[in-house]
Order: sequence, then C-alpha cells, then structure tokens
Amino acid sequence: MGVALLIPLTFGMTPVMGINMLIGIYIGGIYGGCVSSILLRTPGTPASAATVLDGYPMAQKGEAGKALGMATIGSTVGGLFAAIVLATLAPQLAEIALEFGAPEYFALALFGLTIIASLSGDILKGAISGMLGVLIACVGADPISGVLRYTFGVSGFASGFAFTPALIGLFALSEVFSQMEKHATGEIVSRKIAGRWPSWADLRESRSALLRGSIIGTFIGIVPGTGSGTASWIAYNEVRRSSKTPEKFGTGYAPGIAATESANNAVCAAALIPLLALGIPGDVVTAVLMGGLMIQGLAPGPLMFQSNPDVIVGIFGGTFLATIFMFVFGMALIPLFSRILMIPRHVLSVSIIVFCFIGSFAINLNPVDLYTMVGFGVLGWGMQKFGFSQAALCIALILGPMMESNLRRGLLQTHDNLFEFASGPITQLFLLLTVLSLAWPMIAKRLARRSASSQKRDNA
Amino acid sequence: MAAAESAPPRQCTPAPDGYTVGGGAQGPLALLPHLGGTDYSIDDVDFVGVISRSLQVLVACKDAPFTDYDSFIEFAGSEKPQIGNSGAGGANHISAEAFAAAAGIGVESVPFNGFADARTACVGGHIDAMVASPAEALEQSRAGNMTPIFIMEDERIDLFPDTPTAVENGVDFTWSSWKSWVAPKGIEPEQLEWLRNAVKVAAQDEEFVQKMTDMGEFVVYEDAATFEKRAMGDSKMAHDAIEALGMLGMNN
Amino acid sequence: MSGIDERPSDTVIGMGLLAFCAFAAWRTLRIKVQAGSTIAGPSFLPWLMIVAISVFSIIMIVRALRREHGETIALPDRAALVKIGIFIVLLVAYAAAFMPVGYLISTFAVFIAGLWLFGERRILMLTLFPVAMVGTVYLGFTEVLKVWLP
Repeated sequence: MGVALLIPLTFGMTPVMGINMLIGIYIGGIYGGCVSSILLRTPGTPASAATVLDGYPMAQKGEAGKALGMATIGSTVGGLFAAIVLATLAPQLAEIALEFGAPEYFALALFGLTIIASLSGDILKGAISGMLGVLIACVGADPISGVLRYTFGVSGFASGFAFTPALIGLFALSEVFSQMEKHATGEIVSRKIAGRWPSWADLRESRSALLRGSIIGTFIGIVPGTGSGTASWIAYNEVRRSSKTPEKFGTGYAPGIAATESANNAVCAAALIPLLALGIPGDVVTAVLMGGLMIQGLAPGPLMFQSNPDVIVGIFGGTFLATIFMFVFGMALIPLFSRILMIPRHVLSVSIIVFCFIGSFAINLNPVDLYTMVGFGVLGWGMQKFGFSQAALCIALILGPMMESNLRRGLLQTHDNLFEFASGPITQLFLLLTVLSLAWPMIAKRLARRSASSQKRDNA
Repeated sequence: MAAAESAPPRQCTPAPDGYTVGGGAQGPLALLPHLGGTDYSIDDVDFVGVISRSLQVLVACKDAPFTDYDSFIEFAGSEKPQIGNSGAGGANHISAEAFAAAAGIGVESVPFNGFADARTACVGGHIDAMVASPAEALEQSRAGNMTPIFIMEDERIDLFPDTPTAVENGVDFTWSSWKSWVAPKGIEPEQLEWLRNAVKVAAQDEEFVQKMTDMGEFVVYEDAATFEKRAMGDSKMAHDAIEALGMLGMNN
Repeated sequence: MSGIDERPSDTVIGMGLLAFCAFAAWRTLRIKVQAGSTIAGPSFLPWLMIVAISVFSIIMIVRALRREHGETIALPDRAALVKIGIFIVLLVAYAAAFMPVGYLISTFAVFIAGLWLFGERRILMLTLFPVAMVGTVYLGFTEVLKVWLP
C-alpha cells in the first residue's frame, strides 16, 4: 500500500530515481513486516506470516535481537541473491514465467497446500483447518462465473474477506486473547532482551536454509501472481523437510527465520524480472510499479532493454543499494525495535489492538474489514486452544483461491479433459512433487528405519 | 479472496438536491444493474457529461491461429476462439460476448483475476485473444507478443492506422470504457444545466486534459445527449449479452 | 485454571463442524449455477470441501471415542472466560463505532476499557497514557503516513 501512496511523489523525479524510490519502499516494506511478526506476532504483510512460526517463539525466549538479526541477514541474502539473478539472467529466466498456464498454476498451488500436512502436528486437525480455509476463501464473487457466494446480501463481502485483516486477526488478535487468559491466571513471564547478533553457530546452521530460501524465493518471484506469501511458506517447509532436526522448527529455531525471510525478500527482486523483461507484473505491488514506470513514459517490456538501457541499469543498481541500506538500517535499529518488548505486557496488548484496527481499516477503508479481523481473532484463539493449526488456515487462505480459479479455468479451456489438463511437463512435475510431499512422512520413516537397521548391522 | 480491485458499491440512494453528484463509470452504470445485487439502474440517473473514454482493441495473443480480422472470423467459423477477460461479468467479458453476438460468431470467454493475469496468459500464448487498451497493444505488438485485430470504434485511430474497425467490416459494434458525471434523477432542470456546463468547461480545461493524458486517460468531452445515447446503447447491448450468458440478475 | 480432556472437546468440535457443514451445504444449494460447458462450476470446490470436512470430522469423532486417553487442554476459569467474553463484545463494539463515532473517541474509550480489563487500576495509566498514545498514533498515521482515519 505504501508504494501506491507514494507514486505522486515520483512525478517530479527522473525515471530512475522515482522507480528506485518505489522499489526501496517495496523491499523495505516486505522486510519491515518481519519486525512486527517476530516481536508482536502481528504479520504486517502476508509475506511475513510464516516468520511468526519461529520468530515469535524466539523473541518469547528473550532472544528478540537474535531473531531480528537473523531475519535481517536472511532478507539481505535473499534480496542480494535475487538481485544478482535479476542483473545477470533476467531475459532468459523471464521465459519461465510465460510457461505458466492455468494447469501449471493449479499444480503449483496444490503442491503449496501439501505444506499443511507436514506443518501441523495433528494431521487430521491440520487437514480440517486447511479445508476450512479453502471454504472460507470461497466467500465473495466467484472468480470464474462472477456469481456471489455466501455473501448473505452484505455488499462488503462481495470481494470476499479482506486478506490482511483476516491474517492480523488470526495471528495478532488471537495472541491478545491468549495474553488476557494468561494474565487472568497470573502466568506472566518477564523477559530479558539479548544482544542483536545471531551467533556464528546460528549462521552456520542457517547456511543451507539461506541458500534454499533464496533459490525458492527467486523462482516463485519469477512466476507471476504467486507472491511472497507463497514463497515463504514453501521455503519454510522445504528447509524443514531437508533439515536433520525438523523437530526444532516452530520452537524458535534460527534456520526457520532465515528460510522465510530470505525467500520473501528474494521474491521482491525476482518479481522485477518478468516486469522488466516482459512487461508482466507478478503481484499487486509490481503492478503499481509498472504504473509508476508508465507515468514516466516508460513501458516495461522486452523492448525496454534496447530502448532504455540506462533505466534498466539504474533499476539493477537501485535494487542492490536498497537491499544494502535495508541491512544497515535494519541492524542499526534492532536494539530500538527490541525495546518494544520492555513495555508492560498488558499495555502492549491494548496498543496492539489499536494497531490491529488501524491496520485493518487503512488497507481498504472498509469498516466491514474490522468485523472480519475480530471474527478471525476469535476463530484463531479457539483453533489454537484446541490444537487446530492457524498456519494451515493461513496457507489455505493464500493458496485456495489460486488453486480453485486455475483448476476451473484450466477445465474450462480444456473442456473437462483431464489428460489434456495434466499434459504439460511443469504441471506433471508439480503434481509429482505433490504426491512425494504427501508421501514424505512415510518415506522418511522407512529411510530412518533402514539406516537404523543398517547401523545396527554395522555395529554387530 | 483479496481481489486486486475492490468491488464497486452496490447501494446508492442519494438525494436529488443538486449538490449530490456521482462519478459514473461504465461498469457500475451500464453493466452491474443487469447482473443484479444493486438497488439502482441506469434509469435512476440524469446524464451530465462524459469526461474520458478508454478505447479498446481486440488483440490476437502470441501464437494465435489468426493474425487479422478476416482470419479471425474465418477461424471462429470452425472453432471457438478463447478470449481472455479481466473478470466474469466485467466490461471486457461483456464486450467480447456482445461483439460475438453482433458478428454472428461463437467465442469462449476465459475469465482471469484482473487485467494483469489475462495479459500474462496472452503473452504466454495460453489464450487466443483478449481486449486491450491501444497503448498496451502498441507496446506488445512491437515486441511481437500481440497482434491488433480490430478497433472497437466507429473510425480507425491514429495509433493503429492499418487496423480496421468492426463497423467497416459490416458489424455494427463499438465499445469503449467511459468515465462520466451523473446526477440523481429528479434534479432541478436549472441545476442540471449548470452542472452540464461546469463539466463541459472542466473537461476542456487545458491543464486538466494534460494531467489526465499524463496519467494515461483518453480525455474526451461528450455532452449529455451523446452521453445518454452511448450509455443507453451500452446498457442495452450489455443486457442482451448478459441475458445470453444466463447471468441476468444472478446476484439478486 | 481448569482443564478438560481432549477427547470430549474433539467430539463436540466434530459435531459443531458437521453442523457447520450442513449449514454450508444449505447455502451452497442456493448458489446460482449457470448451465456451462464445464463440470467445475462455482459450487464445485465448496461441495468438495464440505464433503471432505464432514468425512474428516466423523473420523475425528470416532478417533476421540476410541482413544484410551487424550491430552489435557487448559481452559481458563470462569472469571477469565467472562473477562474474555466482555473483551470480545468490547472489540465488536469498537468495530461498530469506528466509523460513526470516529477514531479518537472510540479508541480512547477502548484503550481505557482494555487496560481496565487487564487489571490496570493506576489513575495516571488510565488517563494520561491513553491520551498520549491515542494522540501520537493519530498524528503519526494522519500526518506522517497520510493515512486517513475517521
């Protein structure tokens, strides 16, 4: 939203300066989302919802500085990685974006949804939460036929539940309820705030998480319309899956933060690839960026590389600089951010409520969003209480609509021919990954048993 | 969920006091009432004036099996071309269907979540054709990703001197997306007259035209009579297309 | 703090989900489906989800009934529950008042009520602090970030 608000300021600037300012806000905004996620369990953007999983527990352990430091490093690594890819391979990689038709998007979304199975402790309850999320996401105008579903004649629901208010309610407001409950029962823990730097051991541990997060984020960023929310969840899941100690995830484990933050910032720079190379914006923010470019009289597209190379080089440079500035400022401000946690808990909780309301309201200026937020807050609190995964619901809210509209669009285009629908190689790849991902717990168990038995044999 | 574009308002019952005026765009006035779920119709407004229109071009997408108007019609004779639009029941869904009805061909509309998604599919060759703005069509056709098929105007336009209109091919079909000012029905005649003059002066103000053009709008002033004819024509065409789609009053 | 066994709560939640599915099914029947060229109409996915949630809920109920023992879920005691109930009502009222009453007054009222519910009784904390906080936030958003508030 910040990007759209500041477009008028760029009218008087040179193209490169104006666009770089917008890019800076975009990158900074995605990074900034992690601060409230970690400290307050309030994801400012869908992109940082996954950061809540490990960031908040770490801050609760008194290591807010470490969590923020890890997130800053992760964001920087992801951003720089994608910026390098942007500067070197943009035109070649942009072609990938064009390969994605409806069946490919559907398969990608389905693969993303399988994260639910591995993220939730109780698979049954996780699945129910996820399907509930898909159903809730159906509220509003149907993407294919335009017919209104479950709106009960309330005009504010015509476009469905607004996304960010739902997330704020689900994670932040539900936490306020939990705090109130703990307060009532006198379970108040005082916290200390440790230094700002993650230790070398943490960094070593997070090395592969950073790499994986960056690659996944860059890839997802290139595919238009998927966004950083998708990328950070997939990255989190993949890093956890490949980790030797998956049980540490969710308890405040540094690689968990590194994975999500490197992925969502990689998306920012990578989303510029299809925008600049093809004139295709990958998400709402890059669409606004494209508007900004066009106001400057520049139409992004394959021709821009020939007609305005200076602008292209300027944007490459700007992306690097924005990422580096983000690192410097982020690191410098960590002690200040961490102070927030020294505010007495009940005062903080009430303040969070005010920010939840303002944040939910300011996005669309729609009062209906406030009820959405409160409703999801109560729902989230209840779900947490009875062992239903809020993360599963959140993933389903992000990916459900993408899965549905592309499934139906694809079936419409192929006239219900399932073989034609699943004929593309990318579709098949993701469908295969989906099956593997669902079967992974069993495979992992068998592998573990085999290695255990072979070890026994070796010992014997 | 989380649609990129926010939904247009569906309730509107203002007082005809001469101070309440509305910005009237094509969608909410000429299309939405037919889909249902609104408590007004186009008959509830007095027309003040059009301030801008965005022109529309039908373009063939990458690797489409047709490259100009004639081959498009010929292709449509044997197979239904898949035409992408930015949302079911939206302006370029209705315009594609209305053109098909006027030209006597069959098309298959493929809805996307917003214009950007449709364009991505078009440049990637996942659909056959779509409706685009001239500026966009020009840029992408230079890059070889889109080919203009016809202009939805009465006459050819400067940006595409070689692209025909539907009208010159014997199909009575024009379509553009307009922005206008309207007032509630029943407003005092002298107040209405004052408003019409005010819009006329404002819409021809040089600074305003410059600013709007910079922002990519095609500023054109149309007086109340022309506007009424256009709006009523669009509303009628939209009604027929929506009825043929079986979407009439679906949100009531 | 009191606690309950996970098994009865799962059973009750399962029943609740089944009731919800029945309600959703009724609403799904009312979605207007046009005759189209594809099997996957607007109510295709909702039906799939409704059926799947029903099946999973039944599995959950059966599992709860057959389990020997479940984990204990901590529930807040009556006083805390009443407090949270009041709190939820307060938030709904806040949502309702946000537009008509305006940000400043509604937020100020909620801030004080919220702090009171959290057991804050110091007069200074209940008066000066909310004024400062609400005012700072208001100025910050409207003046610095240019976000419009009612």
